[in-house]
Amino acid sequence: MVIRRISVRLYLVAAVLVVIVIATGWVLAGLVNLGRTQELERRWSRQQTEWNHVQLLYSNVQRRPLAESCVEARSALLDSVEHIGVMQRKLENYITSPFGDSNDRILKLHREHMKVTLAHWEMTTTLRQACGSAPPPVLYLYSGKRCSRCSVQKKILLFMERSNRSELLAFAVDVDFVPTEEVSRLMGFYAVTSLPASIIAGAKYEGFLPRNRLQKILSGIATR
Amino acid sequence: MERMAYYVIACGYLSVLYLTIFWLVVLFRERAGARENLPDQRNGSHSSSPLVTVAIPAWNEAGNIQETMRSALALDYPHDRLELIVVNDGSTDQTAALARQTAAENGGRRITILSQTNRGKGAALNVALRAAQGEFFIPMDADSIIQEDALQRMMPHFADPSVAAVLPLMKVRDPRTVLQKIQWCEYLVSGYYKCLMSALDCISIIPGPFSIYRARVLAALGGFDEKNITEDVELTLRLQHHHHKIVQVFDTEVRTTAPATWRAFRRQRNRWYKGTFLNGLRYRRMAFNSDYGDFGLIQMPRLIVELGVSLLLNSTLIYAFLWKPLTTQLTILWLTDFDMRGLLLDWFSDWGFIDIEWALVFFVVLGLYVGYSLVARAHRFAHEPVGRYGRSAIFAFLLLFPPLITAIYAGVVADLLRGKALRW
Repeated sequence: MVIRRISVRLYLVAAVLVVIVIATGWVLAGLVNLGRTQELERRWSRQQTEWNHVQLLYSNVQRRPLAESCVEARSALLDSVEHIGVMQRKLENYITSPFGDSNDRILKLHREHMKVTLAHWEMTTTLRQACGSAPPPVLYLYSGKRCSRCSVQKKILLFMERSNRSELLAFAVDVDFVPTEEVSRLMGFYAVTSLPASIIAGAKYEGFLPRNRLQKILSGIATR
Repeated sequence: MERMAYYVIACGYLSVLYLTIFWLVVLFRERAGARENLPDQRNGSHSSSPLVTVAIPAWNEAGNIQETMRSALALDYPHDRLELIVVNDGSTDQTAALARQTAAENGGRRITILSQTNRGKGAALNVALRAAQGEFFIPMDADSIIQEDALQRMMPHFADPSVAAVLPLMKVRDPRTVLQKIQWCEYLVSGYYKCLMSALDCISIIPGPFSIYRARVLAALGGFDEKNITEDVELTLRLQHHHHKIVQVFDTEVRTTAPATWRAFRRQRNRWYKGTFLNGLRYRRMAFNSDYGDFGLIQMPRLIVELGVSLLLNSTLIYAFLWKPLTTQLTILWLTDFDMRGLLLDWFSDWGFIDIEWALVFFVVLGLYVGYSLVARAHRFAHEPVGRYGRSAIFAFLLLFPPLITAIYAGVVADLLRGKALRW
């Protein structure tokens, strides 16, 4: 007969070691997270400076819509749009990573970023009206939390934008990160009742838009 | 859904981490003891060689039976103290004739050939047990080879009267296919793990080939369960239930043929895992029962929940890290005319140090490192050069074994839910 016993000490030692490993992992994760947050905040600060410059050029266009000022403003705007695209990808990658949505600083940054994305869209729309040379802006409103497949539409828009920059400029806005009153105002203005929705040249399109349909809409705008 | 998947993964990771650390603590405690205390375990060894019976149940083993019998007869042990019983379990090939031929070739040895209609391994072993005269009973699979000095090394452990069974280290015999090489690594890791379990009297499975039982104990417990699909697991749990000591040795090896094809492997593992789970349920009263010490606290619950937990955890891992990203990317690629440039830009544009998913990298690297170290250590422990069959076999084991087992677990769960016939 074997003498049975419970090796309490072994279980406790293992538990203490697990706690130490987890705590070490927690500290390391915290440091990596801190590094990420600081890097994103630095980027965001550069992005703000760039945005201020674009706004300055835009005010010139509003004062005197000349060809040179239009070209200058358009070029600066396109650069800024490209950078906010990169910023958005990074922010979304971090937020969608495991437990990434628990970093308040990143979430705050994402909210500010969404506001600036909306401002970029508005500016592109008015610049197009003032100068007539900017590509048609497409505002894509979606909810990352409520619709996991919405990212597919966003990728299609970005693909089309990359394939032909003069065809469209895509602005994807996750409404979960935009102040409610702003969302209500926007959705009310364009009579959007469900998400995802796209606003192309002032017209709203609800639901998923296949690529050929999008191309048809955009070619219709180009011939106008 | 994704959040739930992450919670499942986090819980699974914590459990695996705890168990790994627990067994590492046992390893550090026993590292010196396992090797250095061995002479103490063996002291007072039998002054005379007791009579031992080697029993070989054989069903259609014409290709292996002679070699297995010769391996048993070649054991370094007094010839008159070694009895060999072959039970032909209704073979339809030349097994019986070949066994008789080998018996005739070794005329002076104690060899008995018995035949019965096909009733399964458990029944064949019971027939041998009833006919056996040995003080010790050794079932030996018909496709296994044992090293010559096995008895010299294993028998001294019976000097401790509480020891009811002694197990050798199992190795895969002559692995050729990738699947066999994966099993080579698995067997070594399993042997290593069993040595640690042995230190806490926590062994939950006595393998079929060449484990030595005290015949008196075996007979008192009623022999093998003839209706059980994993009679070895059932007998082990019965021994544990009656508080008998089981010892795993590391200096004696038995080589057994492992399935070479996926089909054979799946069939074998399906039976093993199904049997282990059902026997775990059968002896569930031992779980969390302080009368059974560490065995009741850590081993029995594992036997019962391992199937479900592993299936849930591995499926979640496959879903979260393979299936979902793959299907999403393929959908996007399909809708964007397979725009690889866009995909690469998405991944690497303006890419920096902080973009690396460090948690994932950390877990993957740590998992591979710990896994590789464990396999390497198991090789050294079994006196085998690390990567004997190529280091790629080790990585194949680390990367392919979990999904293979998940697929088999899924089959087992499906069979159990359908109530599919449970037979050998």
